[in-house]
Amino acid sequence: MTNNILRPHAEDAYAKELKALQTADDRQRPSGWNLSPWAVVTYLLGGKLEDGTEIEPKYFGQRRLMEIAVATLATDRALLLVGIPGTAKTWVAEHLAAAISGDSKLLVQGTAGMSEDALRYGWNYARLLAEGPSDKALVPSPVMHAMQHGKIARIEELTRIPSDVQDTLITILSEKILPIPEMNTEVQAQRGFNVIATANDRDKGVNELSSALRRRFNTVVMPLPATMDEEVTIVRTRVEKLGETLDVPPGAAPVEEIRRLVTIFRELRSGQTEDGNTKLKVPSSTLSTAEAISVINSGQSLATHFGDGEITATDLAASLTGAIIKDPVQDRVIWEEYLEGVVRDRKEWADLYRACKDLM
Amino acid sequence: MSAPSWQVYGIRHHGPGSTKRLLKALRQQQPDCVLIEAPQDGEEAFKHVLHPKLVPPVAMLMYHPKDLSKAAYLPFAKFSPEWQAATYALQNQIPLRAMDLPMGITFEQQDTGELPFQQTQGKRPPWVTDPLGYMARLAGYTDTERWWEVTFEEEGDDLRVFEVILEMMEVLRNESEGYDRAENQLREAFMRKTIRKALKDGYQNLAIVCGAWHGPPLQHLERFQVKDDNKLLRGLKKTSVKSTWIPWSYERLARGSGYGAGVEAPAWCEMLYSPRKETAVRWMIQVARLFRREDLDASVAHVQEAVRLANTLATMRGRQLAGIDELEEAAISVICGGQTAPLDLIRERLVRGDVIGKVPDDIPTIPLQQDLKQCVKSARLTKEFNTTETVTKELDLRKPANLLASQLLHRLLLLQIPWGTPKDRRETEQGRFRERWSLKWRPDYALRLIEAGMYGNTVREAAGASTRKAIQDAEDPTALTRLLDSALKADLPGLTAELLTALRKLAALSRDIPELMQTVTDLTQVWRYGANYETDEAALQELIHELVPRICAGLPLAVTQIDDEMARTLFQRMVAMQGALSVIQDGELSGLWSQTLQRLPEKEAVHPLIRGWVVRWLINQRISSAPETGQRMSRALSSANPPDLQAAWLEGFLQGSGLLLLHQPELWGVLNDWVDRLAMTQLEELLPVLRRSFSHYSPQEREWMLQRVFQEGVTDDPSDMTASNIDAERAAIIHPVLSRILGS
Repeated sequence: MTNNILRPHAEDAYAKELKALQTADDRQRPSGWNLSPWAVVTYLLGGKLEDGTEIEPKYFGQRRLMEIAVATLATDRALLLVGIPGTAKTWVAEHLAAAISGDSKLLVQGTAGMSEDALRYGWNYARLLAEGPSDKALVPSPVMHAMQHGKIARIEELTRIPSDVQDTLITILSEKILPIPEMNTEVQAQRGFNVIATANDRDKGVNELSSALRRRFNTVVMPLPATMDEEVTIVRTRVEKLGETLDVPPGAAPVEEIRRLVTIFRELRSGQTEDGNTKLKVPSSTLSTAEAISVINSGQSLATHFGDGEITATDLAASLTGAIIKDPVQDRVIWEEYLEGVVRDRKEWADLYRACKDLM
Repeated sequence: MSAPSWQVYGIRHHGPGSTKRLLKALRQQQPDCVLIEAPQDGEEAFKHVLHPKLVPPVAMLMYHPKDLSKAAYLPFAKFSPEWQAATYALQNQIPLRAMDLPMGITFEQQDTGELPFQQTQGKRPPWVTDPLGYMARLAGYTDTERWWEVTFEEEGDDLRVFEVILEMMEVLRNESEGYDRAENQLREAFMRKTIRKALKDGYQNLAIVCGAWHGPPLQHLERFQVKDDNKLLRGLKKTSVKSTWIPWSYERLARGSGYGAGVEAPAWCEMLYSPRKETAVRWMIQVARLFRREDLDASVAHVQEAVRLANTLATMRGRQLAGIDELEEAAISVICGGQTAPLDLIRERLVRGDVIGKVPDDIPTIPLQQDLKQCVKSARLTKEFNTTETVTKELDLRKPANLLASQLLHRLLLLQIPWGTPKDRRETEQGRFRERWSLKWRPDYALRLIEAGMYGNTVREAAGASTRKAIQDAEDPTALTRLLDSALKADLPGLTAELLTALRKLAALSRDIPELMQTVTDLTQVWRYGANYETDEAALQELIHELVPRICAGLPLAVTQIDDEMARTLFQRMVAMQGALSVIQDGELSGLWSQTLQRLPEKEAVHPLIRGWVVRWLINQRISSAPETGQRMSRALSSANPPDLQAAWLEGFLQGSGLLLLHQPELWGVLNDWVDRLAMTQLEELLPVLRRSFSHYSPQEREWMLQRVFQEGVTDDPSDMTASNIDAERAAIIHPVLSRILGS
């Protein structure tokens, strides 16, 4: 049955690795944790265990950042991952929860219209009316559930939640309790409970955290990949992984195409060519690594279903154009300038130039 | 009696880790004589180390008493191994010897250039300058002290550690044969000689403290022949050297100047030297304090959480104690919200620290130094004297202490010791009794002070004598007037007469009109502010009266046939000169000046910038009439003249505030009439030039001018657009657009 699931949870997809780590891990574990901090970091960054189990890297980037993240959670502080979209914030949060609690499902998606219920608890109104407030009528939020069972709760897009609702978290994080005034009781968090929140610093109009709440979080800023090679590795690994789940035949993710794509993304993002010789205009799209992955992915499925399985420039062009042109007027001009000014001059990119020009 | 033994301790200069280890090892060894790597002729000065008021960071200043260009500083911090070794020896009444090549020989060598002393400095490979740091980097550590901790703090036997270092250096030295400098061979030979001497003197158990690099050749004395060493050292000339202690600062220590390896983060080293368990807490508290000074939130709770995170990180990385990496990461994550920028803001103060050492008064220094201390005290500048930060100080010369401070700072400036830099007066502060100074004392001014000592034993005396010398050396009048100004402000009135005589002599010879104008301007300043000081006003006046006629005679020639750059200089000087004359208000001089200027506008060869300004000045003074000015204007701006000359003329003409233009109806009329007379094609041609000239005015002034044009209307236009004829409503529609075009 699990084979039909579009995207399995991290703890299911990597159950084997987690189990092997648990067996091999003889270091001290913070109470309520499935693994020691060292094992969690190994799970995230990959490695080889003594019994020969190969742990796949889930995060490519600075080891330092993952160590800070794990150490934060081990000191009972909440963790806030900040970064522009597509810097693997959610991805890291999910895997942290899976590795520490063995459960990445306790998730609250922050939205502008969110009420306190989503962070605390709601009511089964039929029961509430019939029986009055009772445990049975209470519908716990993922956060409350995590407190009761000593697990990690994840809050996505914390800064989209209205400020007054955000502040509900203060009591939960500092006192580690959730009062239920209706029943004159409270939930006390079990050991192992903690919160990982993610926030996006690109969007405008977000609700900044109050300083009281900010103080409860340790912040880790997730950077864009530092080097070309790092980014190519990320895209390639993820594309191969996604290919497996999407039944795309393997071997269709040529490194050369990925390198070309990553070059375009990096150049447009940084506003200059990789050699540093030409200044470029920066489009409004984020052009994150995650988007590079999806461009390759859709190119791959185009190639599989409509071509001969080999990715060509034509397969990439459509989704590439779509990823870059988010603002139909401004970005279009920027993209066209880039095509004429940079892509055309690169001889070996002639196929890509033609394919993209055809779409304009 | 057993055979004498010696133990070499290879240390890292300013390495707190090696210091701690060294002290433990010394206690274990119980030596009967301690030798440290310091110039032998500085040995005397070490007797002050135990003085309770000699507080590091301090530096031993060694200098050639007659030639102060030869000087060396040996800085020591509290955590420097040599400092602690000396302290240990003196506290336990163990003889202390300095074993390095005497500075007197080094000075001589620099002179003769026989050995490449300074030249190789930049090219020394890293394993020679800082071998332990080099090893640390090889082992993958950015922080040498951290590497030291990990590598050596675990080991039980203190003496064994230094044996390991010795072995390590042995290998390194074998690998890098030929890189070593001739200077090092000489120094090591001398050190061996000193060690042999100590053994000969009957000491049985020597402790030898030196940079790790020198370890092997000192431990293995048997590998070197006495006669070879003596041959190396034979015939070296040696000069006499004086040594004293001066206060040093962490800032200077961090720059690694002077002697041996510097240290990047003195404040961090000091924290490492304090009980190691407290380091993380102390460091984080320091972070929080510095943040608070920058108005950033950093509570005690922040500190607590950050220390916890740092410790957890260290544990995760399998380290016993948090190092600087973990501490920084924790501070960024907990206190700075993940951003590195706030930490960068304070990093320098955090790792470098603002600490300055103290040297007691009774350590022999030259009398001038003692006088300076006294002066600093009476001028109430002690606090500013004892910090390395740049301080801005406002002085009110009506207060006695502030007046003393101002005089002291000016005197020091005359002695080439720029402790204070005078800042420009704020526009709003017109008072002459206020001065603003930016103060920053640098420890190496101590050397300049010693240098200044040859001029006299008090600051006042020395400043006077050095100025007298400067007067003799001065080659142009501007330098002299500047000296005159300084001398007055430094309260050295005895010099005025001398200065004026010298000035008169030089001015009589000078044919440089711009320079003479500058002199008159400067002298006027002195004369104007002279009331504050005792000046010989009559002598000043007399000199000005001598100079102005000479300028007036030379000016017409000076402003003809000159290039743009020269014209600009002259133009500025003339404007200043005009200002000066209006301050002096002497009818005779002003008349002369005015006559001279009147001769200029009609001369084609006079640079247009100057002509423009003179024309403007003449109408301002009501010497020329409006029609005459109008005519001159059209002529200067006719199309026969190249555009750049037209632009220069206009610039000169429109010089100064736009308000003047607005409030002088005649001038305004001249301009307005001229514009009216222009044909459309002419106007189009002139537009760029006009636009450029008007762009000097502020947007506000341009807006006012525009309004004025609207009020008056364009009167003589053929299409009869008189003021009454303007449709106000329609004008209101285009007015906003016009204002934008005109850039208001």
